Amino acid sequence: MSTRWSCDEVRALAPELALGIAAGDDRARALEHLADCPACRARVEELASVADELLLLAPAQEPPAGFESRVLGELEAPPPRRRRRALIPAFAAVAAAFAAATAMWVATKDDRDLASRYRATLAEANGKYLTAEALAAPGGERAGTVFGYEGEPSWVLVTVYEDERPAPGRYQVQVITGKGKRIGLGPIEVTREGGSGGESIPIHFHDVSEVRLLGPGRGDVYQAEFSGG
Amino acid sequence: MWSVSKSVSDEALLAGLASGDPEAAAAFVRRFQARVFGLARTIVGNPASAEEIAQEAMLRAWRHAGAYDRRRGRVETWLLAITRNLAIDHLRLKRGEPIDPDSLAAEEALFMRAPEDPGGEQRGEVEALRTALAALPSDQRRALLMAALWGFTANEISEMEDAPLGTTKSRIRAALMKLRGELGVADEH
Repeated sequence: MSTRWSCDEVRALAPELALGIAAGDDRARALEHLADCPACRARVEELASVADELLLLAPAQEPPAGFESRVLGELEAPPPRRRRRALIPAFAAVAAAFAAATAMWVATKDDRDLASRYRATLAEANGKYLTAEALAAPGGERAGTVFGYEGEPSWVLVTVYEDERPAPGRYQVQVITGKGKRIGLGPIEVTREGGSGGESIPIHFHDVSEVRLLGPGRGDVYQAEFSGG
Repeated sequence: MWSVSKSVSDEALLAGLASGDPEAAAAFVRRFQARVFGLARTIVGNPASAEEIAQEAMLRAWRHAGAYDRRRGRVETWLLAITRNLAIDHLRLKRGEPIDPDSLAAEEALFMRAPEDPGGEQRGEVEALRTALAALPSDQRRALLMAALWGFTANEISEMEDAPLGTTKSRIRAALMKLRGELGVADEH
């Protein structure tokens, strides 16, 4: 693990963070600091608001004829289904089995069948439970899903939606226990098609209270909260 | 039912958009389409790409309207930031292509020109910002706009401007800090 950045180091990078142009590794380290430093976060947000004000200077220009009706036509359509990239193979079988069990519940409302399938899945994978929580963007909107698995080993899987993704870039995944211990996991690459990644964790998942995605843009931290710890 | 007129606030229109009210949605699109398309056109140049980006920005606003937080900025700024991010995503896909410096200079000049009919309730503040931007040394202004509008990194700007990386970072920082001062935020340093 690298040494955490100080306030001075983060503030030196604040303009680039605010403009969303800081290099990936620097961004990740700064965002790790920002997640726990309200003063530096406020500084970056303040500069970001100045940068956003600049956008108001762009010359207005009427779009081509028919733009309004095309947009309104899209708005009348049902919201597009969120597409997710395939899960990484190591965890795909467990997640797919869980999804199948969930689908069965939706289709039949047969709780006993669900319970049976769920138990069989967990037994096959030496697990106790599989849970999932929404990955929330700083503004509160949903940006993806974080799966947590309590088993031997326990693991975490993060998926970011294609159509509501954060900006492309490298995102650091961080697991935080109820006692405040932080464990850095490998980064995931988010592209225009979304992104996903996961790995086993050296602790029980039931000790996890939060999973964070430290994003490359504008001081954002994406969070999913769990009941662990 | 909405009674949509020019007096309806941006926030109220956005709330109507979120609730699925067709009149509010139409009024929202009409109110902001020129600004959204204009910004997209400024950043990507190509009209067809700009229209796609503008359309996607409106759809994003619709999807995320419920998450808008007025404490984090005005509706217009929020919507334009969505547009800018989409446009920069588009540019990054094409980042391997050579950039025409004359094209950027032309866009910068256009950006600095005040509109004939400013309109809008915040225009006085916006024109003050434009004046402050115009007062910056040209190398600082250019570095800031290359970062804020086109999403170029300090490294990329450094190469394009043939300036040391440290100088480029200083230019960006100085420009942003000066504008921050002009917007009435006291500098703590």
